[in-house]
Amino acid sequence: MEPTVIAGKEAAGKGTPAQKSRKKMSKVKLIGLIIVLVVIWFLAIQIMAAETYQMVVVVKEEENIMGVNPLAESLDFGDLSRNLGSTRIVTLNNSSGGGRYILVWKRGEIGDMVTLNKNNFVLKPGEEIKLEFTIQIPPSAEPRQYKGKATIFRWPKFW
Amino acid sequence: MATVPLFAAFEAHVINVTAHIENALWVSPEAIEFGTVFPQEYLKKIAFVRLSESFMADDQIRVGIVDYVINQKPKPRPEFEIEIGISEARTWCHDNGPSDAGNPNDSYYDDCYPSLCPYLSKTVDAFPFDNDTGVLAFHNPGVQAVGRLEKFTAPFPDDGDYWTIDLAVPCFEGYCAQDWATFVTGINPNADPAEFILPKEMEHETFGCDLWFEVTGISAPVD
Repeated sequence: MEPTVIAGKEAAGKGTPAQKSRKKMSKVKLIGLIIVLVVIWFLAIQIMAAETYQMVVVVKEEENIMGVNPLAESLDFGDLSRNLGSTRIVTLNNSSGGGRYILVWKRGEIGDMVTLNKNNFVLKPGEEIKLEFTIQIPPSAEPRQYKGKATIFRWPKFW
Repeated sequence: MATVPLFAAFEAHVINVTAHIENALWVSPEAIEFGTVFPQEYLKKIAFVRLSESFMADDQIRVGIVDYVINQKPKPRPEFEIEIGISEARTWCHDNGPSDAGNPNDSYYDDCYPSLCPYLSKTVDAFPFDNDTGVLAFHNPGVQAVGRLEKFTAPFPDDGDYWTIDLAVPCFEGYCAQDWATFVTGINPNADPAEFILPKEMEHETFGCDLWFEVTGISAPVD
């Protein structure tokens, strides 16, 4: 029985090298898990706090049609003939004390037709800017509705 | 549970940056190429602006009136537009001017075309309602044509306006026909014909003007 007691004492105290290694590994794993959770939490907040807007345009077969829809529920570029362009504006205002990194992500079939006057930039504290979303209908566009989405991420600037 | 207030606080921190879509929008008509023209020629082109199908949808009853203007600014040259962006280039060409308007080699003309804007008129159909205001040619470039589109007017909606964009071609100093003054006042009785004669050095230059329709306001239907 005595050797067993000695072994128990050893385990309670310094432990064997194998036990030490396991402990170290589990600490590393725990720290890794915390970092991963913080990153996931940070990304989740950024995604949830990002503004996503529907973008839509109806390409018309007839020439020189400029149909407007100025309602602010979505980035609706209205009805446009080929070769025509339209611009919608999104105002960004930074009322926080720190700078914000602004990133706009366009997606969907309309995405290639839409250009921005600014992207990947820093919005300074107290600054207000107007983001211009400009669509240009190419001559090859089919006469139908094109849709997509634009998401505006507003990342805190840590650097 | 501890992360919940932290989450809320951080989210509040993030949304200190607000974003909203403006009602203002710009639509540019198709480029109008007048080509080579001669003094005192008079040319016409049509532009049609209307409410879109999505705006005219039956379930859209919140907004009924759309006010707009036709804006114009001196036209930037294509290379300049690419270099700094179309809005910035237009603004620069508008806010600046040639130090010597009669010198085709003036550095302003490296970036912007000589202005055609004062020679373009915008006249509108008065159908079904006479609620738009045009601008005659030979005008101060700052004067805007104003239009209104209405969804809920009776007996049918005023959902589109036909605008005629006319070019009254100016003459060059020393080469104006005798009837120049009559030509100008025949189009715009309030214009001073002498103000719209171009320096003779500008003959053979390409002139330009950017026109675009800009929504300036929306409002609820009138009862």
